[in-house]
Amino acid sequence: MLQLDFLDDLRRMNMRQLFYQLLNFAMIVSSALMIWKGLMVVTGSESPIVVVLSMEPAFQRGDLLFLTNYEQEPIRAGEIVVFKVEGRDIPIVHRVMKVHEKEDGSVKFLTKGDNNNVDDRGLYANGQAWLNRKDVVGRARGYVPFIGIVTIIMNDYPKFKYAVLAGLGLFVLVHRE
Amino acid sequence: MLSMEENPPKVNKWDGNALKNALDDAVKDVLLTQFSYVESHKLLDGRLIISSVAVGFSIFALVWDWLYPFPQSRTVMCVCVVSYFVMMGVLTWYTTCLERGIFCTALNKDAAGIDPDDVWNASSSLKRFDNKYHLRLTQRMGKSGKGKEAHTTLTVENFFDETGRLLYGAVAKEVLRLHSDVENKKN
Repeated sequence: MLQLDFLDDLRRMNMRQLFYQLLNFAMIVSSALMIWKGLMVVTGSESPIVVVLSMEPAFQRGDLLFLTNYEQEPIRAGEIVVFKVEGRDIPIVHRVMKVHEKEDGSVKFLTKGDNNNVDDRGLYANGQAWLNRKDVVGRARGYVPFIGIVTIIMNDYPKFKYAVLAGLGLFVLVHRE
Repeated sequence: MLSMEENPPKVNKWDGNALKNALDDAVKDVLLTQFSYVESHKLLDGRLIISSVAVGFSIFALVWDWLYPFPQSRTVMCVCVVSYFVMMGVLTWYTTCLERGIFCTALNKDAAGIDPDDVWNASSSLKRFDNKYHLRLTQRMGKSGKGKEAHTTLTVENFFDETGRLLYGAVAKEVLRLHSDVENKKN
């Protein structure tokens, strides 16, 4: 009996108010979504914020990186870029070692993690020896330390992620303004 | 189903928001059951429409970006994001300027159906951590367009019992008194 008390508010609502509760929840989700998409548009990157997994000593595991991906800015050796290998979802944060540029503007790069002994050719797709511009998700522009640990935990323990999201969702749906 | 008079709601008496909602519901119930007024949903409908349009933009952006991945979807994303935040602005304006704490609009329909209705609006406010519930009742005559209003301040603890159950009778008395105050005012 006690655990259903929190549903009392919902039970006393008419159709319109129930619909408004749903919309409230949708608006909170939408605001987060729109801020993310807005960031995508402003930075030009399809994933403007990534979590670093390994790039010591420059970045620690769990740092949050803020990226931009402007076409006009050339990528130079020594810069830290985030790229995706074709066919894999996880973006990799490593440093550019070599850059080859043709007259027509097309570029090829080779990357290597600061903490690794060898370059990234082992990570690239089968037969791929260089990265192209289109593989690059963005260049690191700024970072916030440590906060990304939450994302790593949520991805390592998906049940925890679903529990947190379900709890938050339920709270918003049931709580009356 | 029991009416609110027979089964008044029980709330967490320390939660100011819950108290205000319970009082609002009770005032609305009194206005609609004691007089033969009909509730008008125009105000809430407006809010629902604005919110729905905003969410619509967001869903559209989500689907479009999924169908045409990022670089191509740039312009559409831009439009959707800007529109969404414009709608949020519209919603804020709507709630602040148009709604202004009005939680119930009741219409006194003319028996013959010829004259326009009288519009009764009830609005309230309860500050955070405060115990003073301000209730304002306004009447706008359909025929003359003239408005009359009266307000009162209720001390919240007088309208809930020890367990947090609403004292419907006490609320009804106040509402009826306020109602006749408005009606009897000379314009």
